[in-house]
Amino acid sequence: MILAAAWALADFRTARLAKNTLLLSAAVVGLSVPLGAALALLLVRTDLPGRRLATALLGPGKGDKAHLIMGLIPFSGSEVVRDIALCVSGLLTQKLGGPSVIPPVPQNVLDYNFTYPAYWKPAEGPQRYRRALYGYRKRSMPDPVMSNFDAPNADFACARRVRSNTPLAALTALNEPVFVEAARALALRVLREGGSDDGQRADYAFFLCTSRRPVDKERDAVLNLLRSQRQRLADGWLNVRDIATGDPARLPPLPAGATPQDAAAWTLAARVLLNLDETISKK
Amino acid sequence: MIAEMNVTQQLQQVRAHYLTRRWFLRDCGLGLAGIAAHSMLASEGRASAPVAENEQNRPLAPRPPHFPAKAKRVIYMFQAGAPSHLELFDNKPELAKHDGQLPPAELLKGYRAAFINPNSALLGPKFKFAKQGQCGMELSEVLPQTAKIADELCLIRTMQTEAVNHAPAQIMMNSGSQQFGRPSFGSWTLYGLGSESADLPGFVVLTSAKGTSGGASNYGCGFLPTIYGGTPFRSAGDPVLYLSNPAGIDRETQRASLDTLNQLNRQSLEAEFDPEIAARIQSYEMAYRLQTSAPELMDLSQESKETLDRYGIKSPTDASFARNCLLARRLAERGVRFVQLFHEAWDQHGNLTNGVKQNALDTDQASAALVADLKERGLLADTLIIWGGEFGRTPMVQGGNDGRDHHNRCFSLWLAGGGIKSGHTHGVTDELGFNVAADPVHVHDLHATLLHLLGFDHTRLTFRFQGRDYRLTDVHGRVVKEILA
Repeated sequence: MILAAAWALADFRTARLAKNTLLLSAAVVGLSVPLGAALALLLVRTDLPGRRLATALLGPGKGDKAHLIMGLIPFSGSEVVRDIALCVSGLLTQKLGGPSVIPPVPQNVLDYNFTYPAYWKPAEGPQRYRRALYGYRKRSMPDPVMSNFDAPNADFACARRVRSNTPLAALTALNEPVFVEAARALALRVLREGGSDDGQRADYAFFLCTSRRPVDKERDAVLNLLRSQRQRLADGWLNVRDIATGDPARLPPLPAGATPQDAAAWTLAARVLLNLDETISKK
Repeated sequence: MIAEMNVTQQLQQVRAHYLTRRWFLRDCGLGLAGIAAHSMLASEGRASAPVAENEQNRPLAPRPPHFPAKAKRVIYMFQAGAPSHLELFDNKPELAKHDGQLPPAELLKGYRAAFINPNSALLGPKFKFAKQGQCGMELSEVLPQTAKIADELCLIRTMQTEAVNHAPAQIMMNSGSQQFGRPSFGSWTLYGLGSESADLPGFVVLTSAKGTSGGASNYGCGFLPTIYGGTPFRSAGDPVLYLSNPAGIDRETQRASLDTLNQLNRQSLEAEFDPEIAARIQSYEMAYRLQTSAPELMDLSQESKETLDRYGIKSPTDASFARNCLLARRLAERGVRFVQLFHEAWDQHGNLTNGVKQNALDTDQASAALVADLKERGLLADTLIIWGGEFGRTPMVQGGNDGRDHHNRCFSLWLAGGGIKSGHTHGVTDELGFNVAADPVHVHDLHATLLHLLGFDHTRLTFRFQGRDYRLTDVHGRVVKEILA
């Protein structure tokens, strides 16, 4: 046995065959990994013609393991959703530590306190755009933004957050003042940094929100919205200043070469992009 | 099973979570195997696309249950804090006779009280009872209005639970488990039946008094897709915040924005088959509709003075259980599947007499008005109404001579409407109101019965999670046939 092995190893052909085998497998791996990765990417993230057929042919199509991964789905809690909007728009204050800041709360919520919190003066400037973590929390008046995303009350222990996805959260991310301010800021950022035409800007805005470039269909959707809303602005249906600043008497600080109409149209587009599932969820 | 089929097909696409970028970057590094698995999974997603796509876009589509249902919708008036069965529903003249004496030693063997030394003196009931209605249901004098609808009710006196504290017991009552993370009864209902209200969420939560100890777990979706979770409306002031568009955005531009948003989200859904994206699309659509439907719903000026008086609503804008009861009727009329009211006020460790009296004042009239009003509108026959808390209270005294501790061995609740035997009292407790003497109804049994009335075999309404088919009733539950009409 040992003798036979020694004889085989001694033979120069064994070494040569072994070397060839290793080389071949290395070459195959080297070629397949980039090729396979590229193909997978094409099949999954793009609109390649025949994609459906190709993916159908490639897999066995049976077996259900969905339940194995349920519950491991990354879920963005309330604070994270707000921080994402601030971060993407460039409003986020990066400072670490310091006292809590008072977030804006609808008057209607303030009015229903046992004792009216006269000290409730929402922070302005950079303080306003600190991470949600620094938000001042009043026990008997849970922050409505956090509540609408079903954050737990701070006076209860919470081992695991409740997953939720309610229309209340959708309304908050669409209409709450800080989210709206984030949309306005993102619009200005895109006009400042995103290039000179709407196509480039759409790519940039999409990239800021989702960390990837849009495919053509996605870019077209954004451009269509911009086109239709630019028309409505031009026709006088919408007020540029209201949309761009929330103040009918004020214009935003416009980047060089950008018009007030750009700022308003892009505020609308930015509001959509900040609300994409891909922006909000941790994917 | 029917309801499961629809949703399961959609949920099979959950595997498409593998297709997220994070997964791609992390796992494709492993090479060919990863890519092979990747395309395999992708094709599974594609293979069932024609069916799934339809379902995915409409995870809340109404669907029939296992068998014809008696009830189409549920209104659950949750009396959090645990109302005292001994002061409201379970007449114990013997307890009055033993007032001030220690309970028999054998009764306390293995008994777990929440706070008091179990070996405390017995406390006689604080209120008088009388037979009510044609059925002769015995009810306390503090429930004069409930007494008038006694012939509509089914009173269960022998409810049992395991938990002895509020949060776990409320979660037990609402999800069949003391530990959080399980889907609530409301979300199971929505998962099984879908929603019939296009303009309002299928599961709405209203709170009064202190809200709930169990928090969002009482109406959460647990591991079900988030689309089935309850939507809590605010109790005071605006019921839903941020309904108005930001400055300058009119309804047409809002619509165009949401169309673009939904179109983009739908493209992600087609690429990733993540049911949570379908839920997201649904939520944004519902948000848009709520912008008009919520103000309309909450506008109680549409109701007559007579109606407001009947429910005992003093101010149509202030938070109250009475206002929530009227809103519950308005929600039921608008096709909302599951309405849950939480009124946390019943935790009378002390101040039992006045506390119970006050709570009865706050809830008795409105609860009775809701049942009567639904009946007049022809909605009671297919609406299942539940009124009750998370456990009972001890026959033993706490806090001087006017309080009772938590008690899980027996408590009372009442049901009405959809398929429930009316004018019926179920179960008997012992003479001290301490233990069940006959016909116990465990929380799981109640759940099994409620699901039965909604048309479900509780053993077949399941959701596969972490390798196991979960149900509301866990591995327990018996349909209490005795209380069915």
